[in-house]
This record gives sequence, structure tokens and C-alpha cells, in this order.
Amino acid sequence: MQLGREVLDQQAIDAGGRQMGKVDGIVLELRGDQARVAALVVGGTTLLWRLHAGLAAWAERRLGGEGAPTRIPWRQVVKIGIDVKLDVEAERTPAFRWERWVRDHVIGRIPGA
Amino acid sequence: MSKLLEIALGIVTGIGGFLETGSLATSAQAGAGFGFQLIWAIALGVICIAFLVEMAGRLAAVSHHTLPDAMRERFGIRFFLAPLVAVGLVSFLVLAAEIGGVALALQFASGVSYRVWALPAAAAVWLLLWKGTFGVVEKGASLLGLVTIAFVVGAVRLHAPLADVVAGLLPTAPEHDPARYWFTAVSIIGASVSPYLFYFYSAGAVEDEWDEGYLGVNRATAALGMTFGGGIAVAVLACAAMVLHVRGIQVDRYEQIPLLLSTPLGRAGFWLFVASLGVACFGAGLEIALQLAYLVAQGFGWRWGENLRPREAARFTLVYTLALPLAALVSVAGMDPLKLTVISMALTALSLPVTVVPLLVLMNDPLYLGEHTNGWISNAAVLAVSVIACIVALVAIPLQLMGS
Amino acid sequence: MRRGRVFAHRVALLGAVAAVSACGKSPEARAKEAAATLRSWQATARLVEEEHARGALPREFAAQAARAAEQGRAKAEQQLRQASSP
Repeated sequence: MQLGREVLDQQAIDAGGRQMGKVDGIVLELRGDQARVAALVVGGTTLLWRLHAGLAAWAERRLGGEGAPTRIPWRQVVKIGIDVKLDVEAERTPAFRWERWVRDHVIGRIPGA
Repeated sequence: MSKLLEIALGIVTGIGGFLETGSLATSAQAGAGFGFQLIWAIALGVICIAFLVEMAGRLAAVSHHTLPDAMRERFGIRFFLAPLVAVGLVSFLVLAAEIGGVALALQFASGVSYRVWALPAAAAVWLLLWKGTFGVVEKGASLLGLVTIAFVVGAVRLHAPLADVVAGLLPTAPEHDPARYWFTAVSIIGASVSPYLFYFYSAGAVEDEWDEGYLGVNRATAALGMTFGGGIAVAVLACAAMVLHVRGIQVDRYEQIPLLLSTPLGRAGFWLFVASLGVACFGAGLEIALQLAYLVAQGFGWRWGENLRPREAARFTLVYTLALPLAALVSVAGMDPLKLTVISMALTALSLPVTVVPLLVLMNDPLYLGEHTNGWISNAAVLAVSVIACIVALVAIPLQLMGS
Repeated sequence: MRRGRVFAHRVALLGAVAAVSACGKSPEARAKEAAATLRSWQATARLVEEEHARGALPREFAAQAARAAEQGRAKAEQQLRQASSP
């Protein structure tokens, strides 16, 4: 499998079928001379690290724990196809932190939301 | 039978959705300044946008990916940023121009300045997106947009000579004002090939859950819908040629454009113009605001969907909730609606290679399209139009800005 | 990165050439342009008046259009004066 092409930057879907972000990074684990995928990373400052290290480091300092990405262990990856299906509840992961914040503080406060 | 209905509906969408402040203003300027000479620019734009819309639909039907989705996945975040920023900026400018158009229609009807109407107009667009579903936004806007057929009636009443219309299909060099001629040509192409059209179309095809069975419908819809839509733009140009060009009037302010319909159709024509401007810009504003939200949400993998309740897709909703008032502020600040429109269209043309080439790369990738990859004609046509438009824009925009 | 910079330079150069050629427009050309704009606005004012007289335009809008024509005419006249007296 080509990780870069088939997993990285794919749409991540949670157990309830909700879009929960993109696969922004992949964590590899070295065992002896073999590398294997340990986890997929969604959200947080991961994307920034791929764009500009200085900017990412600055954002990480500013945001503190707020910018921490969500790591999904490889065993919770259900299926890789058009998108990447994960056996997690997006609502309970930090990947949904900003979605929740916007919902509770902005959009949810407008009548009819 | 239902396929035929789909095609018919697609044609209605094409006709009702084609005209907006961009194609209206640029076609009027072209007809007033150069008679029937610039019809070729509309034709070129229509061919290009028909190909692009068909591609976006085919990509969605075969790969079940929307455009931003596929781009991010195929090119990675670094290369995705270029089309994301280009399409985002251009769409925002065009959104500002459409809101200006709605506000201006209200000014023509009421006498109260467009600067006062801009925020209420944006609020109305927002309310419909907030409450409505995708079907309401897409079909409703284009059905109302059929009022723009008034321009065809106007052109017929003015006895626009068909021979001149046909002759205008052939590109010719201008006899006077070459800078203005090429700038107008480029803005016409930019108005027709607005990226929001095919980005919106791809999101719609995914929302409507298209599959490969839709490929035929998709092709017919794209070709016929855009051709008929382009016909309306040609009618606007013809009205401008018959009403303004013969009197030596060039279009420098939006206030001159209602004359296109009031002259052939009297007081009713004036009101048909106001309705056309208002409805067409309102419909386009709906689609562009929604498209901006799609673009960002799909690019970053957020929950999206016009059929979801706002709180179920909070960040997606936030994008259009912020974009609309910001776009309205451009008009509140007093930016001239015609200038804003024309500049947005020229910049759209300038950005075409960035917005279009990534789509072309995707459309030639069997991993996404399987056996339905592009043929050479569509590749060549789209690439040629967008590169030529970009180069001409690169020269014509500075000339025009310095000249005025 | 380098290639991007070279490209940016070329774009800037092209823009500069275009700008210079535009600013170098002769006074005659500018006067001709201003005269055409002036005629266009005079014709607009006439057409608006005719249309209003035959009832094709509501009073409210006819006034808006007439005002736009007046502003356009004044601006074109000013440009004409500037172009003919360097």
C-alpha cells in the first residue's frame, strides 16, 4: 500500500459516518529494520508542521494543549477506500474541539440552529 | 423519462443560473463598446465552462469525490493551498460583486443607495442558506432566474440582425481602443468561467449522490445548460449593441444598463431588468457563499452539507456566516458596483490556470476516473482557453487600470 | 522557490512595461478618449430624458440615471481640460 497516496490527506470518517477531518499525518514505528504504521493523526497543528516548521512551533506555543492533534491507533482503522473509516467517536476526540467550540459559542447561539 | 426530466431541469438551471452581475455587466460593456464584435468571447467562455462543469460532474459521479476533496488528496496540502487560496479569494470578490448587484437592483427600485441595501441583501442570502436545503437553493434560484429570458425578448424586439450575431462568433481585431477591447474580452471569459460554477456543481453532484449512471445526464446538462445560458449573455450583448452602441454610449456606470430593456420593452422592461439583476445576483450570491463554505470544509475535512442543520456542521456554517457580511462591507464602503464586478471578472480570468490545471490533472488520473478519463479535445480546449485568458489578462489588466 | 522568484520578476517586469506604455499615452490620445466619454454621457443623458418622457422609466430611477450622467459628464470635461492643457 502507498501510504502517501492512499492514506495521507484522505477524508477521515468516524464510527457514526461523520466527517472528522483529514488524515493530516501518519505515525511510523521502527521495529528493528522494519517500519510499520502505528497511528493516524488528525487535526491540531499537524498540518502546520507540514507547511512551515517555524509557524507550527509558534502556533504550538501559543495554543498549548489546544493545538494537540488526535492520534488514532492503527487497530482502530476500519477501512481504507474512498475515505478512511475510523472506529472512534469524533465528538469525544480533540479533533472535534474547534467544531464543538464553534457550535457551542457561535452557531448554536443563533436561533434556529 | 426521469432522465429526460433531469436534463430538462439541468437546462433550466443552466439558463436561470448563467446570468449574474459578471456576465450581465461585461456583456453590456462589450455590446455598447464594440457592437457584436465580442460575441466570440462569450462563445469561448461557454465552451470552456461547459467542459469544466462536465468534468466536475464526471469526477463526482465516478470517484464520489468533490473537487477540493480530490485535490487535497491527490496533491497534498502544499499544492492544494494554491487553488484553495486562488479560488477562495476570487469567489469572495465575486460574492461581493453579486451582493452589490442585489443592492443595486434595490437601489434602482427604491431610490435608496446600494450602500444601505448591501447588508440587508447579504442577510437575506444568509437566511435562505440557514433555513433552506440544497434543493431549494439550487432549483429555486435557477427557476426564478428564468426572468433573465427577458433579454432574449428584448433582443428580438430590437430586431438584432442575426447575421451580425453570427459574424461576431469569429474573433477579430478591434478597430479602436485595443486595450479596452482585450480587457473586455478577458472579463467576459472570466465571468463565464467563474470557478464557483464548477466547484459548486461538484459539491451538488456529491450531495445528490450521483453515480456512473448519471454520466449521460451530466454531459447533456453541461453542454445544453451552458449553451442556452450563454445565449442569454449574447442577448444582453445584442441589446447593448442595438440600444447603446448605435448612440455612441459606452457603459461606465451600472445606471446605464437598465436602458437595455426599458428601450425595447418600456416600463415593464425596466422592472424586468431590476428583477433580472436582483434575482440573478441573489441566486449567484447563494451559490457562491455556499461554495466558499464547501471549499473550506471539504479542503479540511470538516462536516459539510447544506441539508444538515447548521449546528450539525458548525464550522461549515461559520464560513458562509462570516463571508456574507464581510463581502457586503465592500459595498457598504462605497466601492462602485460596476468597477467591483469588472475587476473581479478580470482577476478570475487571471487566476484560471491555478484553478483549472489541478482539475485537468485529476481528470487524467485513472485512479480517480477509471476508464472515464478526459479525451484530448476537452484537455486541449480548457487548457488553451485558460492559458490564453491568463496571458491576455496579465497584459490587459495593468493597461486598463493605468488608462482609467 | 528560485523558479517562483524568477517568475515573479517576469510578471513584475511585464506589469512595469504595461504601466509605462499606458502612462506614456499621448495627450492627443487621452483627449480623444475623454471626448468620446463626454459624448457617451451626453447621449446617455438624452436617452434617459427621452425614455422618461415616454414613461419607460420611473421618475425615481430617471433621476438616479440623470445624476450619474451629470457626474460622468463633469468628470469627462475635467479630463478633457487636463489633456488639452499639459
